[in-house]
Amino acid sequence: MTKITKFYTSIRGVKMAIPIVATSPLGNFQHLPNEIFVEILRNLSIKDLGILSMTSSEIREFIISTFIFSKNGFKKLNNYQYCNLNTLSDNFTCINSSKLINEIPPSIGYFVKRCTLVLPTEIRIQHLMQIFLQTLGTPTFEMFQKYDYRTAREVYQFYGTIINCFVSGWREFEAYKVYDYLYEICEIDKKIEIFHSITSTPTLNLNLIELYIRLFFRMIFNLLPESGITEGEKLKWSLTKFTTGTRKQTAKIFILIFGPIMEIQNGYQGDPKFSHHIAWVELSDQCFINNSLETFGFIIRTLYHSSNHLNIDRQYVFELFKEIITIDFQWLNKNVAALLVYSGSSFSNAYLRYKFQ
Amino acid sequence: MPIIKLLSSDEEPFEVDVDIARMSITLRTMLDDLGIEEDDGEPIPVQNVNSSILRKVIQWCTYHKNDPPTPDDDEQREKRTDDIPSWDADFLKVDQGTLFEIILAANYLDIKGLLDVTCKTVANMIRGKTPEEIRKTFNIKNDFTPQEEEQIRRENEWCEEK
Repeated sequence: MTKITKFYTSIRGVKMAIPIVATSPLGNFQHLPNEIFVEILRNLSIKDLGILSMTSSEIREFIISTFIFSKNGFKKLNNYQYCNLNTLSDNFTCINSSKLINEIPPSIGYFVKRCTLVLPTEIRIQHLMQIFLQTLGTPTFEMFQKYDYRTAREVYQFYGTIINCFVSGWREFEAYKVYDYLYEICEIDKKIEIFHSITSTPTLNLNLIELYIRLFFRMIFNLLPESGITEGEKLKWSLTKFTTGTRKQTAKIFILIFGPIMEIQNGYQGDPKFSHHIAWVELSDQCFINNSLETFGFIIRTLYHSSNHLNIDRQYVFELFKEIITIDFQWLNKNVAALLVYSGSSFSNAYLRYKFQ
Repeated sequence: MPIIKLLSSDEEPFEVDVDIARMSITLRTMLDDLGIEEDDGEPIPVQNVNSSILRKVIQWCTYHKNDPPTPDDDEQREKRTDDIPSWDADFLKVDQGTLFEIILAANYLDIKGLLDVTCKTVANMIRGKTPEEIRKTFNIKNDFTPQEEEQIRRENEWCEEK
């Protein structure tokens, strides 16, 4: 009997006989060891886990520290809901695209949102960044360079959906804090400076920087799903970054982000890394009347209709348009016509009236 | 079939097949370490488990004695909660206090299959509920202020997956 008693004294004692009466911020879960509570939580979908985090601040803190801030915590989440996110980095292109866009990123975005409700925005941003670190990394230029353009486009769209779900329903100035933070850590201002400073002899590195700037802003502009932050509001934020230089530089940034893109079969000189470039030259000698200019037209239309909100006058939009269609050379008339069509009849009529005054 | 005696924390003795007792890794380690193969007259104290819970644990182990070993936890593996066998579901239709005590006993005795199925059962009690329903189910005290609660409610309206 002594041997046995000795054996048992070496096992961690656990109090039994649970009094299920009094309430506390951890509720009845306070009677369970942390590792068991984690085990229960690991059986929940990411959505249910987010909802559970809204029950009390103590449970929220437990979920945050377990699944967001502990090492590999995000990997403890139930894979069922996020489709092997652990191997996302390696297999990004293999994942079913509708799941990639419609299911996984919104569930992650809403999870971080729910877990951080009522926390100060700065703290919430830190949690979002932590999720990025736990998934594919911070969306910097270094991360961008790990992928070929096609994959990078999906990765940044994936992040864009997370960000848009995260800020959904926020007031615009709060959402701008998230965009500003990303803008800063991704050093986009430096990249834009490089882009503007090289005026001749484009290099392959410049090509990568151009594509990176494009994907960064497209990540912010991500149209899916509806976030309550309108395109006009995103444009307002973007304009504060675009319009620091000359009008020509602003026009170039617009083409860079919203203009058409060219794909080179097998990549430049057989290097798949350089498989895409902005259609700077091609706009002057190739026809883009299909949907390549549709997004661009939508942005011009938004710019025109939101001019009051954006604190710009409509003449500025006309001048900008005039500038856009002459970069690098005068665009093919068909392309100008297509952009006008996609910009909407109000804008195109007003622009033509302005031009022929 | 060799039998051993277990003694619950409230000192009620239970006679159990050795094979069933060995489904508990804690008991198996102890039996191996102490070289016990069958009842030597000395009951083995299960200090942290009272008689009503120990009875339930033995009942579960007896029903599952021929099950294949539970695979080790794999973080890559999808976790499901809709695969609880109907016998287990009926077996675990107990009050929450008892369910939590079974979880603690399964953890203490290291019976992975029982721990898994009880954790899944608790997860199912959370699943699909609103925060208020969860609070009510698990006696969770809402420590948000009314203003915070209103802010949470408003922002959560944006979280409905489309």
